[in-house]
Amino acid sequence: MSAPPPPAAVAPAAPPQQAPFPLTFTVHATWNKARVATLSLPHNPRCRTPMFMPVGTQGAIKGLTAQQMEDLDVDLILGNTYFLSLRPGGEAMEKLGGLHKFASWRRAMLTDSGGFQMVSLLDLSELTEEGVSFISPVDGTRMLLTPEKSIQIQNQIGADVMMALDDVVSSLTTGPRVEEAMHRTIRWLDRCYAAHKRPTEQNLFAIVQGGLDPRLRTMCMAEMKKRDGHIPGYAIGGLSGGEDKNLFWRVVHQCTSELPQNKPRYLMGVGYPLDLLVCSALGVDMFDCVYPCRTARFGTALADCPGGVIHLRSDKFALSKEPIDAQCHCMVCHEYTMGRLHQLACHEGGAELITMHNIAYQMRHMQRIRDAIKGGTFPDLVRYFIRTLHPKGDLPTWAKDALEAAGLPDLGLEELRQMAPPKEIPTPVQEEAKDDDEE
Amino acid sequence: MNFQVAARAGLARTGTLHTPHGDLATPGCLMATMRGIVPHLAKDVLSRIPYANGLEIYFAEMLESEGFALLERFGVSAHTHLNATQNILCLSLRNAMVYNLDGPANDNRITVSGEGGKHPVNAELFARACRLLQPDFACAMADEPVSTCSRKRAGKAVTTTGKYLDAILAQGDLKCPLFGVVAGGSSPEERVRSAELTATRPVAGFLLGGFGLGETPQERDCIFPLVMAKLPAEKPRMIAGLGTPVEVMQAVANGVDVFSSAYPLIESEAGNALVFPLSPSSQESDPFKLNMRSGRWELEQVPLVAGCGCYTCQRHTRAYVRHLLNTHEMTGDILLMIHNAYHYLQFFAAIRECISADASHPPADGAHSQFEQLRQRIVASMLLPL
Ligand SMILES: [Zn+2]
Ligand SMILES: [Zn+2]
Repeated sequence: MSAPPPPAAVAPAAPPQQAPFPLTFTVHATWNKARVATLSLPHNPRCRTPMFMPVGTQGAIKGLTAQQMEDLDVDLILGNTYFLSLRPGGEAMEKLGGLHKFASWRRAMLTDSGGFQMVSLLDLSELTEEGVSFISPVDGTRMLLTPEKSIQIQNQIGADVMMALDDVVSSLTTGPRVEEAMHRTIRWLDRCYAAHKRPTEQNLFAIVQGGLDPRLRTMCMAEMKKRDGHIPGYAIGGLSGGEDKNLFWRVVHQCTSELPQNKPRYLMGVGYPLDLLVCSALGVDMFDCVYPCRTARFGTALADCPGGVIHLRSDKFALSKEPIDAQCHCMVCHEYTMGRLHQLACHEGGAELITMHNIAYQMRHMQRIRDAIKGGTFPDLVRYFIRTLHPKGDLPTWAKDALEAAGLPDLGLEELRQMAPPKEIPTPVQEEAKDDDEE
Repeated sequence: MNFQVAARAGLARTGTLHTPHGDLATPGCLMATMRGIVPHLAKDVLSRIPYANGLEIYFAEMLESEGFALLERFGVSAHTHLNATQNILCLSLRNAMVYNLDGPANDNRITVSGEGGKHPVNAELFARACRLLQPDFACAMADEPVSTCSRKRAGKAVTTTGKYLDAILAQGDLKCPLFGVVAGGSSPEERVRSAELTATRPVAGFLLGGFGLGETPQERDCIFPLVMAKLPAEKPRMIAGLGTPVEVMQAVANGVDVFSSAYPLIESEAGNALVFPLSPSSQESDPFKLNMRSGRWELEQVPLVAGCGCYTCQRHTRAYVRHLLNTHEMTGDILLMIHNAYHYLQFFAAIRECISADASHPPADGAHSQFEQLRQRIVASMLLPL
């Protein structure tokens, strides 16, 4: 990072023109800032937003078949450019006809830029204006990921949505590095669009950076809006890295307020059920997170219950004849009791099953969010959710503040604190949260 | 339980084993399980594989991971607890994946090993497990020493196995049909003695125990006909410990009806796809199996087996399966196991068709039967480079 800062990016000389993006975004209903829309992409004309996008690194969610993902009604999966660039590699991917054909995935797909894994997984990565250089874990050679290279590989993968390479800094970083990263992200964005070879087949989203500083976020968005004619959609980056949630939601709120209304917004790396509810209320359309899959590997199932999770390894489920969730339509809730899952989760063999249920939970959660926005019953859903998952009124302050900003001033938390949990809630099943399934 | 033979060709026979939880077409195969599930195959996936309705569950695993006391409190059968109401369940002591009967045995008890250690099992505990789990049938306790044991040891095994059977029968209603075990290692005389003894007992069928423990194919060729001649033809015969296609066909040719096998799993874990021929008339020179981790498949956008009806071959390619295996994605193991289980169970279907065809149209003098043609095609495929 010793190189002198290059001059500030200049907006493209040509006046922005509205490119014919291979995407349409049609809003059907709104509730304050929240919106329900159809995102039409080349491989899936009917992605329903707000939507949760499971991570399927190699075109497959860990332990699930494409058929099972279709059965779960997944509209879009997320592939990881970094891993795909290592194996099978961009050139092989091109020869194989892209990831859709290679993985026989018939619905939509999104690829990240590869930068995040590089910075977070590789100790030896180095950042220059040119790009991120790193030691290949496959053959030990030093490689350079530039905006051009990222776009080239993403063009070879051929996902419906690609992400621009951004300069990723931890959301805990403060000081001039954050501003530098924001400016570099803009400069790299221009290089990404210049390198994009398949603009009529693939959508290249820009990523808003600027850390937790509202001034920087505004500057970043102002620069991006100058380029709006090239940008089919926007991502909100640089969050979900362990930052103070009180700052997190304010950045989301700010971005969804300042970004163009007619384009999809994707909040990267966010996917706890409460976060999905709150950020949908703030006007986010797309989410991704490894949480439902990762937590499944520790035997944790997502459910509408106090705390929102069921630790299936707990001995108290050894004799349970109940499914995780009788309302859930997933194969696991039809075919397996919690007693059986307890037994499997304590050994190997349960992870794929719990993953399947957790994805189903996320899908159903997004469906009820969409239904509530459409039906004008969003406040009812929020109250149901809080009553069920936080029956003692123990909703985190940030969520309360965020929901208030989204137009829900009265959540009745005080009432809840004085009330016993409602009858329809099963006996409390939450255990002490274990550290092992935290990010 | 009810067993019906539909056709015979030589000693080989094809038929149906009817159980309250479905029918097993014979010769047929029960899939080996781990804690009651076929590894890598979730219920929705398993249910889409034809003939994958028979499962072998293991005494030690049920004892350990469930805990009999727990299950007794639970008060449900294995079918209910495993939610396997559409599956034929066979309770066995010998694990198909790892030999686990090498612990100390005496006249009253054997020792089965599981992940949790060694468990002594006597007739009373065995009967308790049968009543509790209520499988569609259970294979009795047996003394199954390795095949290289002395004639004296084999003789002792026959005597003790007989004592176990009588002790189990003395326990009263087991709430499930019982298969008696023919023991005797590699000694033809002791095998015959065991078959004669077991055939006189009120059992629903027979398990040929102690195979796949080091005996040669020639020894099996000698023992099988001697044993089969002593077993009543109307009762089903099962064998444990044999699983390769050639081993299976050798046993079928001698009149074995039911197999239990981890063979598709073992090949899957080794990264191999089973592609051996399934038709006696197939002219293609297919190899026996493919190493799916090989770089050869990097760009091969073709199914594992052209025309295969399994989910993996219908939807995916060699290139993708190889990629998933090489990147250690669990989905790769699943896709490979789906194909191997499908292919292996189709192999049993091919065997049944051959027997039926040979029964209705016996081969002319000097000509090979369909069954023998299939066997030779498979043997030929094994000689081809992988
Ligand atoms: Zn479920
Ligand atoms: Zn296949």
